[in-house]
Order: sequence, then C-alpha cells, then structure tokens
Amino acid sequence: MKTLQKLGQIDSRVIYALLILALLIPLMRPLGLPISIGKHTQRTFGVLDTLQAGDKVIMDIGYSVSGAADVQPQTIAVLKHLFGKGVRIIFVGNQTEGPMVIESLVKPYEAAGKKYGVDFCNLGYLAGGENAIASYCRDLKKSYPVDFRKNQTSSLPILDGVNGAKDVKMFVFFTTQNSDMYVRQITQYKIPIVGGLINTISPQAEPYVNAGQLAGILVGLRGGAEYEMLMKAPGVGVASMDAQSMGHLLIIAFIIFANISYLATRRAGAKGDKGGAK
Amino acid sequence: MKRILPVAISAVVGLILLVDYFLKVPALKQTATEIQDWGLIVAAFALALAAVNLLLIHGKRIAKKDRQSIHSFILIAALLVTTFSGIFIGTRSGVFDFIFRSVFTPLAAVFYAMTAFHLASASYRAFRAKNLQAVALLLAGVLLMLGRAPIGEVIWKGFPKIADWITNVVNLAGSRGILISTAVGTVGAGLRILAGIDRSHLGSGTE
Repeated sequence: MKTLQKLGQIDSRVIYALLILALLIPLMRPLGLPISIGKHTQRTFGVLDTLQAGDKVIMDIGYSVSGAADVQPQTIAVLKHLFGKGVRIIFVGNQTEGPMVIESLVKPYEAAGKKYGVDFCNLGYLAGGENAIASYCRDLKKSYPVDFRKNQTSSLPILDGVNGAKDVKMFVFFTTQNSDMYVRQITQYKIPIVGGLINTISPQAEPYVNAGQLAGILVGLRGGAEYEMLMKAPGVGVASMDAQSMGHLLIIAFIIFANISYLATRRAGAKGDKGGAK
Repeated sequence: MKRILPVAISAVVGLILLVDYFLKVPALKQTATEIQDWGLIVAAFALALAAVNLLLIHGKRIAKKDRQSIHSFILIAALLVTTFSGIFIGTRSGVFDFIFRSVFTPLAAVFYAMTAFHLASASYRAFRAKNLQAVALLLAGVLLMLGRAPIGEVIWKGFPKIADWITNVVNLAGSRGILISTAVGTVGAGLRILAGIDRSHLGSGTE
C-alpha cells in the first residue's frame, strides 16, 4: 500500500527530466506515427485551395515568438500552399513582433524569387488590437501610409485597387488570441475568413465555424501537421507530432499514478478510521 | 461639468461608432473613421507611455542599489539597445536582426516551452478523482489528449471520435452559451456606459 501511496509523491524534477526525454527522443529518432486528417484541416485546405494565381489575400500575423511553437507550423504550411499557387499576400502584424516574424517567414520565398511589393508586402504592426483590425480593413493605405520596409504603400503594385478588406479574396489570420475580434470586424466585408489558432483557444472558435462565420480553422500544432500532410510536404509540424504524442502519454501516465496513489491513500485512511472506531 | 462632459463625450462617440457599424449612415462614416484613427493614435502613445513608465520604475530600482538592481539594469539596457538599434540603424539591420533572432526569439520560446513542464507537474498534482465533477474533468482531459495526439489513434481508433464528440457537442454547446451570454452582457454594459450610469471607465465608479 505504501508503494502505491508513494506514486503520488514524485518529485517535480523527476517529472521534468522524464518529460524532456519523452520530447527529445522522438525528435531525434521519429517514430513515424500515422497522422489522420481532421475535418477542420480538410475544410480549411479546401477553402484556401479555391484561391487562384493573382488573387490577393490579407494575412494577419497575430502571434508573438513565444506562441509560435503552436501556430508557426500552420503559417509555414499555408504560406507554402498559397505562394505555390501564385496567390499574392498582404501581410499585417497584430502583435509588436509580427513584422519581424513576417520577415523571417518570407525570407526563403524572397530568396527563391518572390518580389516584394508585387507578390507580397509587409505592412508592419499597427497598435490598437481590434481597433487596428477595423481600421486597416476599412482603409489599408490610410492605416499604413508606409510599410515595414519604409516604402510608401501607395507605390506598392500589390496594393493597386486594394483599399481595404472588401477588395481582397480572403482574410487569413494566425493568432494566439481569441478569434472573436476578427469575426466581429471582418464578417461585414463578406469575404471568407480563415484562422490558425492555438489548441487552448480553438474551442471558443467552434461556434463561429459552426455558424459559417469562419470558413475554416487550423487547430494548434496538429493542424499544422495535418496541413503539411495534405500538402504532401512533411515539415516541422509532422516532425513535432511524435514528441507531442509521447508528451501526452507521459502526462496521462502521471495522472494515472497520482490517482492510484490518491485512491490508495483514501482507502488506507478509511481502514484507519474503521480501526479507530472499533 | 467635470462629471457631465466626459460622460457626454463617451455617449456621443459610442453612439456614432454603433450607428456607423450597424446602419452605415454615409454622413457619419467620415466622423467614425476619424474617431477610430484617434483610437489608433492613443494606442500608439500608450506603447510609448508604457516604455517611459518602465524606465521610471526600473530607474528608481537601480537608484536603490539593492539585490534586484542588476535585473532592472539589464532590462533598461535591453530596452534602450533594442529601441535605438531599431530607430537609428534600422529594423532590417544586422544588429536588430541579431537581437530578435538570437536573443529575443530563444528567450521567448523558452518561456512558452516552460509551460509544458509546469502543465505536466500541475496535471499530476491537480487531476485527482475527488468527486464526480473532478472525474468528468479528468476523463475529458485524458480523452482529449489521447484523441488529439496520433498515439491515441494507434492505441484505439475510437479516441479521435470521442475527442471530436467532446469538442463538437459538449464544448460547442458550452462555448455557444458563453458567447451569447457574453454578447448580451456586453450590450448591457455598453448601454450603461452610453447612458452614463456606469462611469468606471472614467475612474469614477457607478452612480
């Protein structure tokens, strides 16, 4: 009984060490666990696949570097898809680090020949949260007279004929925050809205997907991995899924240990009480 | 006047934005746009104000010369080096890029990654089947973890289906309820502010 009770007193450092191993080993030696495609990813891929070469989309990067682990694989996979189709992307940043994240995302595409100002542009960060979204969706050039690279936005060919969200084919956002503000401000422009979300926030976005206000969502690291599978281009998302599986299994094992210990302690306590009563 | 003027400004601004959003009155469009632009300017100033506030607070801590002073010194040094390299050398310069890629990015990633360890430890200590509600939470958590990770599907094909059911039925119903009640609450709170009943945003509480 005492051994069972001790299962509930494992030192935090032991948990941390085992978790490091559970995450590191699959990263170094992938297990190759099969990844099935969820309905959200399938739907989102279908929506984004309707875009044609030359179509313009606004892509809002609303995550900081700290939240990138969950959302960045989705962003990379979607960028690969859209740039591969010849879609032209107007990037905006909804977090202070957004413009720098955008620069790092577009670097390989720029090196491969995508032209700044023609195939994509980085308008930078606009302070104000939801107010900023409302503002640039209404009048892009007024909200951003100058882009992140100090060009006059009126001189960018990609923005010819684009005054706001009503002039693009789609709005795509990746965020570590709620999707509410995007839905509230962009639905009025009657363009499809697609979101990339972190795992913990995605349940709050389900009603919007169900109501059709969000045309599709990608959920967490798994969403990124599934999108990579649909693209037939496994990347960082797929590589991280084995580690996530092992991490989840380890946490579940610890929860089971803790509950065995809890039940054993309660049982021992109940027996002790009965003994005392006698 | 000190009381009435701020309430009147709030009410007028709020009404203009509401009418513009819902009714699209052409005569109000320009005014609503200007008000929103003011909002952006105020937000930008708030960022600058936050930086000044940070300098003042940590400047005082450095002046105290206690054990924590070194942390404040590092914070101010990092703030100034990043700000000045961005403004004077450029955000696409090697210096700024180095700060972002080699200093800020790994540090920020470490902070996020640490939550996984705290989460593992917290789950171990908190997820105990003490009563029926705790059992429900425990089961939902474990089933979702198994249903969302590829290993769950390898163990049993039913785990992803159960996870989907929890997300699409149980979660959806709850989220929708919260969303609608929040919206109704927001309308109520908005009306109280517009009517001047709630003045907490002006720092004067409710009458």
